[in-house]
Amino acid sequence: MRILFRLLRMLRILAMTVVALLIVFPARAEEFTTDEEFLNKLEYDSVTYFAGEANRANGLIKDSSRPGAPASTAAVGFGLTAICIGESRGWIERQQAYDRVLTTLATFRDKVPHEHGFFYHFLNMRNGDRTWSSEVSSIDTALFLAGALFAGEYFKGTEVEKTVREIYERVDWPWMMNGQKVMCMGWTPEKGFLPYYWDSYSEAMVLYTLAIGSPTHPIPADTWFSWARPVDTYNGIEVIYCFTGSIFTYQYSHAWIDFRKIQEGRINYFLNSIKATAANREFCVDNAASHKAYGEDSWGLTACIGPGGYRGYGAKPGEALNDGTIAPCGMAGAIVFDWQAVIKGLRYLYDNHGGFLYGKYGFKDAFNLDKHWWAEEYLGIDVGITALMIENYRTGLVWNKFMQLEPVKKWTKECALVDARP
Amino acid sequence: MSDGKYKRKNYLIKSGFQLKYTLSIVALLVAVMIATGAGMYLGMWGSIITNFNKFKVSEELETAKRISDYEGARYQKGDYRLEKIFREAELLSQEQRKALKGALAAVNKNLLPKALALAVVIFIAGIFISHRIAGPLYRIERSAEAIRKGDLTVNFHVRKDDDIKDTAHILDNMVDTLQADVMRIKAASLELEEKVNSITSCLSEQDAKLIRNLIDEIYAVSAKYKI
Repeated sequence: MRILFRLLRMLRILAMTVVALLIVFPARAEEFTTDEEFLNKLEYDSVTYFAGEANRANGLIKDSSRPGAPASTAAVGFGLTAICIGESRGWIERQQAYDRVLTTLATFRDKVPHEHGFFYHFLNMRNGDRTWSSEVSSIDTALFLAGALFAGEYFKGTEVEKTVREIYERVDWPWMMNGQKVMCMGWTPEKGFLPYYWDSYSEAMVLYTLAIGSPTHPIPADTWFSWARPVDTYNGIEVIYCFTGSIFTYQYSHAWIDFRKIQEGRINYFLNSIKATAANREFCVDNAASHKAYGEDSWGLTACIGPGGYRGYGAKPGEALNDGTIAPCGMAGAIVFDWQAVIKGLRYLYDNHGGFLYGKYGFKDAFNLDKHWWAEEYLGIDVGITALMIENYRTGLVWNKFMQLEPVKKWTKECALVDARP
Repeated sequence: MSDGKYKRKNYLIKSGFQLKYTLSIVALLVAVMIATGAGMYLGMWGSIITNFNKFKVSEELETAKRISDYEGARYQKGDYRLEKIFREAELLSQEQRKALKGALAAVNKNLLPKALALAVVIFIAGIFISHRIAGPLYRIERSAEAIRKGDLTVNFHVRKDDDIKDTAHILDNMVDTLQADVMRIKAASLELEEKVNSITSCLSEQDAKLIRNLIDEIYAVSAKYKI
């Protein structure tokens, strides 16, 4: 009996040692010989979120991997695009991808409640009903539609394209303007239109693009010029900035629209995002002394989960709410704007924090070294922007397909946006 | 037939049959109770437990907080005091869960003894109910046995509200018929004997003996019956 107790005690000590070693020396990250290998893994893992965190019966995709999370309309938009990317890379069978996309679109056409064609921000994963008191959201509807239209173009000439057209053409875009010169952010059955408008530079460019390009219920083309383009500088870098300074605002519209080709007078929004990316990086470098996670290879302040919940983190120019939390998607989404810095940074995060930060769907949402905090979950829109931008960097697939869409051509034509390429 | 004469004295008149019959009913009832209970538990209670369990409530609160955070981030109306409110809501939900758990435990505590009491009642009722079949059956068995021994004067006595009174009536008719037939056989055999006696001189000694033996056998058989 004494020997048995001794054996059990030894086993206990051994187990505790193993756990301690795992904490001190987390699982060694996989090594990559090339950046391409690394990007391929990150893109693949990110795409798998949209297969793993979806309700296969209706195609709805969870807002986050957190248990009990509702579906997010925007995440579905990213997901529809990501599934097509997966098909193009041979990670998903064509028929399987087609069926999933069609199921999702049929759900949104026939089951998900809508108001003048606009969808609620968050939906019940089981039946698509509105979750909690979430609002009918213009930007989330636009992000969904961007993904849906891309899928329609990807599966051109099929039932997918037809279904997308039905959903897109029923959206009453002028209704969401609520009689104003710019688009409202949302509406609730309880209180009507929200007192917030997309009246300044933000991620909403894709919303205006789709609203102006609508073949059935377009808003006037001059609405494009109704929102403000505030300019500020950081370290001498001049940026048309979003008031939060969140880097995702310089990325989301660019995930589908190839702004490299578009010139609005003297403004080139692709170039603007390059500058915003540089400013964000410099802001982190400048504040590296205050926050352990910040540095030249760890930047990209963006809205993400933080130690106290979801926050609209950002850098200057802008309000620059920050507390030392870094979301890898902030960097990943900027790969088309500064691929060298981004790949270096992502590999730095993978090599140095991969044990805690990297999992089955790629990078988890965020971390904060000051508070020894690591997110346990993945956010659909964050892994989504990672997958889409890496694909755009690698092949330009999303841009190339999306720019073929008639609504995009209508928008560029009516707003007199010219081809910026030499 | 007098009901008073046949008043029930022993309710376990055919104990093997009645216990088997009663236990079958109780077993069936217990099976129904278990199926109903499981259905209720998995349906009603299961739904309550699923929707109000610790993790589900936490998840719902986390979702509500996350949506509030999203709105705060997007519309710049973040009120981080909400975190405190959600924490308090979580504490409140803990109390509610405790109360719900107590209510469930009380229901379970009440249900089990009531179910056991019900099983005992069903068992006793089963004995009574089975007696309505077992009693008449017992009497029919006894009457049939008496008939087998030759007593054709017996009746299949059942009470007017017994379920097998029609069967007993048919059996009574059958006994009456048998009684009449045996009487006719006796009368016919007497007549036959007289006829044989009158023609004995015309028969060979051997035939006369044979016929007399047959008549004796008929007498012996019919004499066995009490009519």
